[in-house]
Amino acid sequence: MTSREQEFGEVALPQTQNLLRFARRLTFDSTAAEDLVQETLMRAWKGFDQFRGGTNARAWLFRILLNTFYGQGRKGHLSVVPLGETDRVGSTGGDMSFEITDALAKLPVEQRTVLILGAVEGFTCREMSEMLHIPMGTVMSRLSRARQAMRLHLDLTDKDAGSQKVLSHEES
Amino acid sequence: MDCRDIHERSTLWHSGELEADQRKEFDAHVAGCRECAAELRAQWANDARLREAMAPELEALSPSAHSVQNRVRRLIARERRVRLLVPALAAAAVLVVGIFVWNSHRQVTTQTAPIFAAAARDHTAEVINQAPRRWRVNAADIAAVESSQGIPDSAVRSLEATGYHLDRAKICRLGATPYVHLVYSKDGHEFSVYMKARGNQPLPDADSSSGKLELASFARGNVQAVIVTDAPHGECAKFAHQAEGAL
Repeated sequence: MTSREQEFGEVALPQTQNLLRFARRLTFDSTAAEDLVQETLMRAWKGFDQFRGGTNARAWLFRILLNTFYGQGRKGHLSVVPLGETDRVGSTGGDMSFEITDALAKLPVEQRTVLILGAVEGFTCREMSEMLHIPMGTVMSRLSRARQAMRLHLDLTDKDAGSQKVLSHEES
Repeated sequence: MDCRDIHERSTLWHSGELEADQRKEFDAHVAGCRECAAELRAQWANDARLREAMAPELEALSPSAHSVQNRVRRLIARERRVRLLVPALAAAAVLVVGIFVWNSHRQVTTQTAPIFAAAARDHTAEVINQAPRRWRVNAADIAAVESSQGIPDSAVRSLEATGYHLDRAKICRLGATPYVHLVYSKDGHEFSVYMKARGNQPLPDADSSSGKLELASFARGNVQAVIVTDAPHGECAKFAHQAEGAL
């Protein structure tokens, strides 16, 4: 193993899990997500000479992943996600987890992308703007709409769950 | 700031990107506005629910991540091997071509080298051991021998001007090829010069030796010659150089 490979192993490879989690939210397919992340890391390896040490490796890798994803022309089939598919990806927790991931899956891919990048991965609006090659105002409005949509969906789900509990109590 | 401003800038508030003075104004409004405070709390709570819901995925994805990392490491290692292999293959190709060329050259040399061996044997038998042969010794007879093989007598004689004395001449065969065999002498050494009109078969172009004998060859004009002598290497080379110049 060369020193360059070792450095890549220390800088890029530890991000694999985060990249995979994000990729699964984009592709809704475990195998496609692994392929996407593998290609992302190989592209990162090929461009590793251009990567400046000390800069944000996570942002760099997520940008490559998004470029790869959109470059592969997968955008088209992502905005329509079969509901049945959503429980196969990511719902590793209980009911609450399923509700959240279900709500997330119902978001348009553009809103889902900024919400995960911002709320889960912790990227700033400026970083997302650079990553997605869109103006910062667009990032802000997408994120704002995504939060509204999530809140609406979760409120409805909570109310629905509440009425189910009341019904169940009355029946007993 | 009013409620609309709070709504527009809430994303920057969540990500901590508000400037200090904007943050101050933002917080001041939220502190006095129940609706905005509730909205921000709800957003904050939903973000937290999202993070919590997705957090277990990281651990669950560990095997997949290892699998991807291993694949990437293998691909990188393969790329490195290819990168190293290409120059090695190029070097090997150059080596193979070099060996081929060298071998081809060697085959040519091997094909022509028996002339030296034949010349050395002939010089040993006829000059050193003085086997009885019908040598031509006078100028007219020598010129006739040269003429019969297309060798210009003037060239042969011009070598004498450099201090070498032409003692005798005759026709002999090296292999199956007839040559004019001239014997020059100088300082107690004898030099056999085997001359013939230049043919298609090239002579070895490097100096060589065979036992105690020194050999050389050259081609000049329409004549090619093989030189054999028991004189030292330097003398042989000097003679060959002067003979070539004389021709």
